Amino acid sequence: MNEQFAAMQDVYATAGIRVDWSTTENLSLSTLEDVDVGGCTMGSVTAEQITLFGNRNFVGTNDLVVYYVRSTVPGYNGCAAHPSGRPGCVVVRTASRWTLGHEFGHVLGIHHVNNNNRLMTGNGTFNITNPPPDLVSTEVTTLLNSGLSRPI
Amino acid sequence: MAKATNTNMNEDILAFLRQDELDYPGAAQKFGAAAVPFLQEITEGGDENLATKAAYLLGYINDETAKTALVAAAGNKFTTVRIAAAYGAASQDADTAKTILGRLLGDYDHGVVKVTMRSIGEKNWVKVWLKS
Ligand SMILES: [Zn+2]
Repeated sequence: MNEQFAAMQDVYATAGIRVDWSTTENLSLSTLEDVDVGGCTMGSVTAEQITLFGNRNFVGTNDLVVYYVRSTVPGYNGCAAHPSGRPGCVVVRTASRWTLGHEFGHVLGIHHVNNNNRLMTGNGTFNITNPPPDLVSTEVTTLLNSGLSRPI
Repeated sequence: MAKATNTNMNEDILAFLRQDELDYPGAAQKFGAAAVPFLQEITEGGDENLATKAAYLLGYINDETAKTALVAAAGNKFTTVRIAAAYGAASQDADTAKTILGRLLGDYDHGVVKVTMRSIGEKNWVKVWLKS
């Protein structure tokens, strides 16, 4: 978790975006340790995602939450689909160190590209070979305009 | 020639499994039954992330060899591979599904049992089991 967060800070820093870790909560939700995310389609969530993403203690309305789980059902490294008004994503224990930054990228509105030098590669962030991977200027603009980031 | 093709396909399968978000139905369509031996090999290997995804993909491939591999996955050392077998069982024929789900209903892990129960629910067997 620390490693993934540090990796995400590295990537976003290249775009002039600071990422702060504000709070952590251990959720004792054994039935959601392997969470059903269905087809992981943006804008469509399962009952289990709704329950999981309901946990936002001490989290501001526009703050992003990552739920670390053992696995998703079916198996992904992460999934950025979230109930409306509860921005966040799910990341699994065995994900790559770049998955967190990648999923948050989706939450903030950026999409897959076919380029393993970039954070948003659709070929899998395990394949990133030039750490930290790139965010291009159009992606940075989208991140800054997402409504979930704010000027500092 | 055939070997070269296999090598290429194995590379494509690995590339698919290394993705963050995966289109399993699409991959099952693309690779089909020819992918089963390699998927089973990955499922039985030591990389939990890839083994789990390989087991999910097996569940989407409609072929006898895939069924056999999915039944084997129900006895896998990785919990998340057994969860994948429980999940895939829902789309199998009754005999295959019963073999997998009957075994996994007694699993020690709550996540495996949860997905097993869900697959049983999808099979509409609950009434039958309650009656008998
Ligand atoms: Zn993605």
